Amino acid sequence: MGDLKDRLVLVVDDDPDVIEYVSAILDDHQMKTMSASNGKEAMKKVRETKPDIILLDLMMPKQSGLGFFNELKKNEKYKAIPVIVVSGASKMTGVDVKSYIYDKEKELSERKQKVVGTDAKPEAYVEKPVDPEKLIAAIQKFLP
Amino acid sequence: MKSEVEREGDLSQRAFLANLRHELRTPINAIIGYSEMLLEDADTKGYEEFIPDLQRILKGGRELLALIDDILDPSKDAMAQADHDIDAYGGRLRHALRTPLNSVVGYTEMLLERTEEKGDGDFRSDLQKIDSSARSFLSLIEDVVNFSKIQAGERPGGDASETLSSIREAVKTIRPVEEDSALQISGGGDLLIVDDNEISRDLLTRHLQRQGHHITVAENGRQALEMIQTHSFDLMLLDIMMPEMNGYQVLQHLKDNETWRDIPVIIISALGELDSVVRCIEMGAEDYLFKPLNPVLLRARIGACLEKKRLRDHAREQQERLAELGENIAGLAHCVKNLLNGFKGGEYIVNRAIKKQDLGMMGKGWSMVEKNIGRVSKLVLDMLTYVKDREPEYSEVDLNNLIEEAKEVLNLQAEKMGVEIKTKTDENLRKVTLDSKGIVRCLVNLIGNGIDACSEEGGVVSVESRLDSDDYFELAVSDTGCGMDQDTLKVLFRKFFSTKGSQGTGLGLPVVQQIVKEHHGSITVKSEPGHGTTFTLRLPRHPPPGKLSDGKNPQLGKE
Repeated sequence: MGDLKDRLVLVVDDDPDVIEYVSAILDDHQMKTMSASNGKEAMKKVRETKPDIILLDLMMPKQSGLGFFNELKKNEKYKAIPVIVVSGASKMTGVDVKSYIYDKEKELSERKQKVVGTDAKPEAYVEKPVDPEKLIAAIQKFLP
Repeated sequence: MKSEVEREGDLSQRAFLANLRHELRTPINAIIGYSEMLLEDADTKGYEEFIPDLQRILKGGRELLALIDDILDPSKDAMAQADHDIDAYGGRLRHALRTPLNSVVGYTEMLLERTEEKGDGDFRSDLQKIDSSARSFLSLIEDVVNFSKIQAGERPGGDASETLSSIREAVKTIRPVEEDSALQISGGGDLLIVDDNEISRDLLTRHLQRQGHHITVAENGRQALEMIQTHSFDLMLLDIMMPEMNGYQVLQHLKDNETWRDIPVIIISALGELDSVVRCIEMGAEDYLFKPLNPVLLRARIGACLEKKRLRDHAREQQERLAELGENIAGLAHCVKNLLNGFKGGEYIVNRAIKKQDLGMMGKGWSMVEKNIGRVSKLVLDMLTYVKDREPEYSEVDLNNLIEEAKEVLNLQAEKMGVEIKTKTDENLRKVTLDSKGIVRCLVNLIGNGIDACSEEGGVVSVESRLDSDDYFELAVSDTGCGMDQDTLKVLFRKFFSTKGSQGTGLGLPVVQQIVKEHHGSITVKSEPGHGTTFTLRLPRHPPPGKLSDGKNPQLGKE
C-alpha cells in the first residue's frame, strides 16, 4: 500500500481517449501522469523519467505492448517497476490475444532473440471498461 | 456303418450340393430378373408382340427356382438319396429340370432370332444374358451328374469346370418381387455400387435408377477407393465377396479416413456369410442386405439410410451455425466492452468537468461520447452485413461515383492523418451492375484500413479500377503503410481479428469478403512488412443471368 500523492504513472495505450480517461482518474487522486501511444514511445519516456508504476495496454498494433514489457523486464534499472495491464480483452474470440502474442515472442526467442522475462508477469490485470475504483485499488496495492 | 473315407465322402458331397443350390440360384435369378424387367418395359418400349414368349421364359425360370428349392433342400429325403448314389441323384435332377429349362432356352433363342432384323440392342442384350444364364445353369447341373467323376480327378469336358468358375463369378441377381413401376422417391441419392460381378451391378443399377437414384459403379475395391477420392457419394452399396480387396477391407479403408468415415455403407452379401456381415457392422456398416436382393426391401433400406445421413448432415450444419453464432456473440461482446470504455470515459470526464465548472473539459468528454456513438453504429452495420445471407441489390451504376462516395466519407480522417487518397478510374467502367451500398462499404473499409496503416508517417492510399476482360473488372486499393507479415496474412480475414488493437472491430475485412462473395467475385491480398499492402477485388461487371431481383436482363447498356 502506498501513498498516491505526486507519484508518477506512465499510461501506455494506443487509444487517446483511454489516456484521457485514465489520466482524469489519476488526476483526481493527485497523481502525476505521462503517456505513450506505443511501446517504442513508452520505452523512451521511461528512460527520460523513471515512473513509479506503469499502466500498460497489451492490445496495441504490432504487439508493441508486449515488446515493451519484455524489454522493461530485461533491464536491470527498470525491471522492478510494477506493471498493471489494462486490457480490452483477456480472451479474443477465435484468437487468444495473450497466447497469440506469447507464441510470437516465443518464436522470436527461438530465433535467438533474448527474451528474458518470459517468467516475468505483470502485477495485475485490470479489464476494460475501466472502473475507477478498481484501478485505484490495484495501483495502491502494488505501488512500492 | 460307413467307413471314415466314406463318411468324408458324404460330407464333401453334402457340401457340394449345398453350394450347388446356392450357385444355381444365380443364373435362375438372372433369368427371372431380366425376363421380368423386359416384361415391365414391354409396353413402353413397343415390344408387345413378344410378351407371350417373355411370359413363358419367366414361367420357366420360376419353375426352375421352385424345383431347385425343393430338390436341393437338405432337409428333404431327396438329399439323403444323394448320399447313396450321387450319379442317380444327378440324373433325377437333370430329368426334373429338363422341361422348364428347355422352355427357357427355346423361347429365348426364338426371340433372339426374331429380333435379329429388328435389332433393338438393349432388348437383345438382355435376352442374351438370359440365354447365357440358362447355359450356365445347365452346366452346373452337368457338374452334379459328373460329380463323382470330378472327384476322381477326371474332367469330363472342359466346359463344366470352366462354367463352374464362371458361375462363381456370375451374379447373384435381384429376384424381382411385386414392385410399383413408377417409383420416384423424393430426394434420390448419389449412390456408388461396388461389386465385381457385371450382371449384379447391372441389375442393381437399373432397379435403383428406376427408384430415382443416380448410380455410379465400381468393379472392385480399388476402383471404389479411387472414385470416392474425386466424388462424394451419399451412400455405398458394397459387396463383401470380391477378389483382391474384399468388402471388409474396403470398409476398413473408409473408416480409417477422416473424409470417408461418414459415407454410409450397406453391405451386400450372400446368406451364408453372416460372420462377415457381423464383422462389417462392427466396423461401422450401416446396414446389410442378403442376396438375392428384394427390391422392395432394398428401396426401403436405402431410403432409410439416406434419410439418416441427411439428418446427420443437417445436425452437423446446425452445430456449426450455433458455434458461429456463439463466436459472433462473444466477439460482439468484446467490441462492446471496448466501446463502453469510451462511454464511461466520456461520462467520467463530463461529470468531472461539471464539478470543476470547466467547459473545455466538458467538451472533450462529450466528444468522446460522440465518437463512440459513431463506433457503435459502424459495429452494428458491419455485424448486420456480415450475418445476413442477402442477395445483393443490383442497380446500374458508375463505378467512379461509388469510389468518390467512399472517398468523401474518409476525407476528414485522411486529412487528420496526413494521408492522401488518390484515385485512378477507367472510362469503361461507367456502366456496371452492382450492389452500390455494398461496394461503397467495401471501399470505405479498405480505404479506411489503408489510412490506418499509414497513420504514423503519413502516406498515400491509391484506388484504381480497371477492366480485366469483357466480363470482369478489378478494383485495387493500395497503401504505402506498414505492411503485414505472413502470420498476420494467415488470419487476416478471421472475424474479430484486428491489427488495430482495441480500435478495430475485426469485422471490416470479413464484411468485404462477404460482399465480394455475394457478387460472385474474388479478393486477393499482397503485402510486405515495411512496403505497404494491396487489396484487389475482382468482380463481374454484370451479375450472371437470372440473378437480378427484378428479373431484368442484366446486360444493360452493352456497348
